[in-house]
Amino acid sequence: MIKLALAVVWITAAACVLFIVSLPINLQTHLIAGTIVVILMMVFKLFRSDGTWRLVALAFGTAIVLRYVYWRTTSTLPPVTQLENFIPGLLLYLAEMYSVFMLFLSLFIVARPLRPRPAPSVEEQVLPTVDVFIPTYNEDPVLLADTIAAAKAMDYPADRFTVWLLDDGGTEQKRNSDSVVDAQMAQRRHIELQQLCEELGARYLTRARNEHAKAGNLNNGLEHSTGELIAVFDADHAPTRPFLRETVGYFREDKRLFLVQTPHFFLNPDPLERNLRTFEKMPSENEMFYGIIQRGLDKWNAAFFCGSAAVLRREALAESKGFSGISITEDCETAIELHSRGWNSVYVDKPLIAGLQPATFASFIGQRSRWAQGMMQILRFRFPLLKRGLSLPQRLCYMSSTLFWLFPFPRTIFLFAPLFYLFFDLQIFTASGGEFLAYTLSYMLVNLMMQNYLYGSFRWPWISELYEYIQTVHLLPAVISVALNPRKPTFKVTAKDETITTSRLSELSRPFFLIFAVLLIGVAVTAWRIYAEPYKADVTLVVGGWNLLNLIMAGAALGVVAERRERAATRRVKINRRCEFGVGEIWYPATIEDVSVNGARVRVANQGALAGIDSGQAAIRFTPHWASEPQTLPLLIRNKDRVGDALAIGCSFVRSQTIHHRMVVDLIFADAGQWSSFQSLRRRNPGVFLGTIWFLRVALFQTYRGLYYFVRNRSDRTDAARAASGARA
Amino acid sequence: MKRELAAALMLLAPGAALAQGTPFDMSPERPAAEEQVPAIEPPQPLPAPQPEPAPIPEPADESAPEAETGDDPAPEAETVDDSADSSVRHLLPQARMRLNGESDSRAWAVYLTGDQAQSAARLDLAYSNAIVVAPETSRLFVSVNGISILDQSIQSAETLSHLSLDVAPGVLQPGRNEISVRAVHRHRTDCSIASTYELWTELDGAGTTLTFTGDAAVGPESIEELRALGANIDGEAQIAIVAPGLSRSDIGADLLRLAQAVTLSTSLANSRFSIAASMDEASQDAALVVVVGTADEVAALAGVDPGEIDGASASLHAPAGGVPTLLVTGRSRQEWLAAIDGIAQQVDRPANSPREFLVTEAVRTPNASMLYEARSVTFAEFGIASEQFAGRRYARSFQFAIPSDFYAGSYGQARILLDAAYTSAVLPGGLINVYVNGNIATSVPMTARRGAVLRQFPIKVTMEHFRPGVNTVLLEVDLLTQADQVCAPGATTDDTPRFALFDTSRFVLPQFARVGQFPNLAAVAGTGFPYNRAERPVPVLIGRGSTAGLSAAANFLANVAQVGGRIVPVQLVMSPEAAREQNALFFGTPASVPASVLTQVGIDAQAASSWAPIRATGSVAASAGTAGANPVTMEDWRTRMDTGRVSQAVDATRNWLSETFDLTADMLRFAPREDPPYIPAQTDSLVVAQGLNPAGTGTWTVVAAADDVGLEAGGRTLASAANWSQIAGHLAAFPAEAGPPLVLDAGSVAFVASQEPSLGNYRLIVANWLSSNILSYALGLVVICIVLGVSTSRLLARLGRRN
Repeated sequence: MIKLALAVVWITAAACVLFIVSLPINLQTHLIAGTIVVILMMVFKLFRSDGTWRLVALAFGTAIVLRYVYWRTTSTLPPVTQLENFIPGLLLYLAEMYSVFMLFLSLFIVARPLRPRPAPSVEEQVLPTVDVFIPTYNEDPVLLADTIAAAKAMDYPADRFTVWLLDDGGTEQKRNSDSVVDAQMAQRRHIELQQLCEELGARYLTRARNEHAKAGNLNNGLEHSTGELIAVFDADHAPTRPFLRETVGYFREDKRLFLVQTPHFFLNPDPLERNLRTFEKMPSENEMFYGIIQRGLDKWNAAFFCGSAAVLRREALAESKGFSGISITEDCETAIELHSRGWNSVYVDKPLIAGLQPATFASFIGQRSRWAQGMMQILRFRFPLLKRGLSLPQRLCYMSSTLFWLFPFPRTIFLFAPLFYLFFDLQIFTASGGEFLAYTLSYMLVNLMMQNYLYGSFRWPWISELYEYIQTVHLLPAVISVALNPRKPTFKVTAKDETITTSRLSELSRPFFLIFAVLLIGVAVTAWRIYAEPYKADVTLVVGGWNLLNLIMAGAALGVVAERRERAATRRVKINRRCEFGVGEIWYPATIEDVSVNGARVRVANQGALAGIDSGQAAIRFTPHWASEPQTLPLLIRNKDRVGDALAIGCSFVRSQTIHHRMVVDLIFADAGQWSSFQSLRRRNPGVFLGTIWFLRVALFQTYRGLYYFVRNRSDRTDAARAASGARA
Repeated sequence: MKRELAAALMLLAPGAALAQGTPFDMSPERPAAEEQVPAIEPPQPLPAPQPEPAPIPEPADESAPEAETGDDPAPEAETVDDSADSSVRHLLPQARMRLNGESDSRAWAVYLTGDQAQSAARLDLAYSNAIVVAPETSRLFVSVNGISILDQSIQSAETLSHLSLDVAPGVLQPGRNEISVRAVHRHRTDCSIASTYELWTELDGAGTTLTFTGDAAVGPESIEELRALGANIDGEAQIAIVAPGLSRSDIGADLLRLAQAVTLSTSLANSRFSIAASMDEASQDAALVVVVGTADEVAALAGVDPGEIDGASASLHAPAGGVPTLLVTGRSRQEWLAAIDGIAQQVDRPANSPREFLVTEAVRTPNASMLYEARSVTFAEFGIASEQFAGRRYARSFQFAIPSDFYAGSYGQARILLDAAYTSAVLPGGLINVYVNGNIATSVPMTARRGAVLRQFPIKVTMEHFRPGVNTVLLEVDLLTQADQVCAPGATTDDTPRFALFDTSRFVLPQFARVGQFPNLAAVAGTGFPYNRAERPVPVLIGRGSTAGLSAAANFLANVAQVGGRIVPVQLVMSPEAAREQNALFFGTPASVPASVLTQVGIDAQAASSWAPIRATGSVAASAGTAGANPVTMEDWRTRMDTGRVSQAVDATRNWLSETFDLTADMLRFAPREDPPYIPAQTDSLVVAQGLNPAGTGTWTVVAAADDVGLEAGGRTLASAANWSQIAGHLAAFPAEAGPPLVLDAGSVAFVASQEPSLGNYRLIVANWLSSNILSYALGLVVICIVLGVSTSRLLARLGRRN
């Protein structure tokens, strides 16, 4: 009853807002109303930016955005009679309307994200049986060993879960490949992994043919297993100990639950984070998705499967005949199918796995291309808006998730639109300088602030734009190609274990320099035009300013494609764990300070006896979570530092037995809390103003760095060429 | 036709234009415009259908035009008597008609009787021009009914030149005749835009006449021919109503009805009424005397035998050499009232029947189309033809009319969709300026460097300066070239076209808010609203029943009838109580009009009682402390002060805001403030003020002068169409010396529905009100957003999954 009354109030209020916003008021009124609203939004931000206040501020923003839309629609389109202006003008208009539409979809989804909830506990005797699937294609056995070991180490009754390594790199098809080298490699892999599984207590499974890629591989696993629940981990996603404890309880609570998804936490920075050095202080790109959007989707029962770090119900998968494989994003496709069949999903906002993400720009783009193309395929084949069985909120949620990947189109248009005016003198936006200022400026300010209200500490200002820009250049052709040939794209496994040993330009960097040069010319043209055509300086200034913004973005992107050398091959994780450090037969009490899959840094209390040792074999002894007795892990001493009166010793692991894998995994993955605390360190909101200043500084420096790499690259090549010709002579 | 056109091109187009080909050819690639513009320079409308080759008198000699009537440079003395001479017809609707800039034209209509049209006629023309006008490249064109009768160089910088042209038989027509004059000017030496403002040619009203040389007297001879009644040299016509019965019985309302009927029967731009009980001075100079009363009353005056009158009778007598007299009589009052009805029926129209246009042809043709709602009108419909132009500043104007309940001044934007072209010679940066009723409405730069063809190029025109009734829009285009900047000798004579305007250009009026507003004198001046809609008699109170007040009322109502296009029924009342709930009119002095009425319309009654104006006999002592024409404002003083840095920055911001957004501090308001009562200044001669009636259901309009002499003079002030059209706001105070009135805008305005209720109209009304009360809009937006935000929050707590 109250709900109905509230709905009536809400609809009335919304209608009133629409009415007020669509009044054809004059410029001055908009200017004043816009300024007052912007100031109010800023003031609210100073006091409260959550709960009802957040929604009030968002309502303010919505009103201004709608006013912009009204104005843009009714009075800025060039006349149809001037096609050369009208067509680009209309494209720009559509691009802006797409952005506004996506903004409103996001508003709906993340209006009030669900707060994290306590995991429902389950009594030991009724714990469901779980099959843990680790699909692999070409990953390194050492990486797989860690993942399997971590999976095995999960805190769950051993008789109630089975770990399966689903190997698609050792299928019969591969082993009988026409290429002898490939066939031998596959055969070797087949044997090696079988052995590894046996040692770690996992089951190895492969199949005849590599049909339907990852979805087919998982379905093969389904056929050969019987557990009530299925947990899926990518080969590089090692689960922490409490993973199953935190997730399986939900399945008992809701019999129609098909999915519990958890966030993907990455140990290594993506190319942008690495090259811009933001990994330690700025929230990662995917935190916006896992930190806010999935929680928002969860509110509308629309959290979807992200391919890994999730638990699914076999019964549900049986209904949909396994994982769907029409698109190359089988995860989301499976989720949409099951949602439409009335199954529910839950999102647990707690990082319970840690994994790797693409390290190089090229593989990053490769991964994004797959996502974009897959989502386009879903849009094409399972159009969510009209998908029968989905609730209205679910339809909107899926529309948002899929339509998001159309961003390369508007980005491209925003990038080149100012050039139409600067280079070709086309009037694609008919407004005076004053109108542009009053409407567009208030719109942009409000837009930035709304994003800050929505994503605040999860996404800093301008970072979304930068990510979209760096992807656009290569995603645009990918999206166009999938639009033309929706069935063509095939699943490609993203390489995540690359390391960058030398600083270099990415092989995909060329277009970025080209665009940067064009925009730079645009700036020069702006200056010339202001000088030579003072009578339209107002419009030139506005358009030139827009172009300058694009240039700043393009400059920052130069830094992204200028790949920095990576010092540590693998990421070190800070932990604090008591152990004993032993050289020979003598054991000293010590603390493990940080750890990676390759080694650890151990702090030993003041022990003069160790002062002389610079290298050689050593060991640490600690009690893993799965054992009751201390176990020993052999080490090689690499270096040592004196820190105060203690000694910090850097050493690498010597993994000769299976148990060593399990011990390393126990060090790194035992404690889920450490990921959360690392994330929360980065989650602070600098605000629109400071965030913008910070971004400007980053962009300036990265422009310089990108250009420096470019020049060095050129001179290297010239040197090499000279050397080559010299050699010939 | 095509071939003829081509031949015309060959003859008229100078070499340069021919070599250029057709620079503005819109047709081949785009179907938008089909016009083919003849490469004729100077600008000329597309050839109108010409029934026969027009005799074009060529000026034989620069110094002494062959057809000159005389060399007398001071013609006024001799022409004074002309008004009485029915064989001479003054043509100008105003004392002097000026044609400005490089190319300007005017056209207006003159009505002639059948006899006049058939008699041989001579057109006399007197003009002078600015000394900087280059005679060799400047020409004056005159045509009557589309037939050219004059095309000669302009060369009368020193004195008034008199031209005398024989009008060929058949050119003049009975009834409506359109006279159009056009001047093309070039500067002798200067090529700047500014110099084009120095160019003018002025026609003199006294010397610009039609003289009928036939034997018969050819003035109007029947009531139907009243339309052919001519004005005097100033374009004004005095109409004296003589009603001997006025002193004995209460016939004021009937006379007001008669005045309106007469004004609608004529085609005069400015008719000046006087009402008296007997022939007096006014009736001696009058263009028309109207004698009204029973046969017995008028017999002596009109020289008729009462016995001959055997019923309602209205007839026009035009004694040779005398003043035409309209005799309205009958055996009884009922009968002469019926006679008035007889005249009125011919010209009246029912209330609330929509009009297609407002009649303006006496001053300007074509008549102003009435735009009641969203309309898109081509320039062709406004009488603007496609044309090319070789000068520096192109200017063309057109007029249209909007209804009295127009309420879109704050938010509205009309658009001009321009079909035009300019050559690459035109330097970029020139402005297209649009003026509405003399106020700048838009300024758009032309930015193309290599010329451009503009197709339906949108120019937004704010409706801020629109007013009810007739509006004039002036389109001005600056077209400087490199050659103009150098301005080599002879540069001004270059007549290569550089600009073309096509008659497919459009004026687009969007749907606008319509609601009656009280007070709004502009609506009275524009269309006579709300009195023009009256179906029951409008109460009119004339202070102490003075004839001065009655004359003023006659002039006021004649104007209302003219702009309203119908006769307003009136009844005289003695007390404002009778008009409590109606739209009413009051004429008088502070002493004769009840104080409560003055207070009601926002005049300080107490202060008004001591209103003692200085007659315009000499210099007017500016009286400090009273709200005169130049009130002391804080704003003025603020700009005069030298101030510190901070306030300078504040001022700079304020200036920037007002320049960029036209935003001033007084726009920041929640609602309009109440105006303090107006205190008439010594310099005021006539005050027209409007306010709500006490019942709040209509409006009262007061026309007040300090005394009866002033009221009489005030009546004459109102008779001038130029003055009448400046009445606006809630109060207009005319100064004793000629000049524009002080207009006070209405503070709070009451609305009265004038349209069928419709959501669309309400929306636009709200938009306009909020656009003029900005803070209310902001407040409304903020409040409703808070409601939306809070209800969203509450609703979200109950929708979807909950925490």
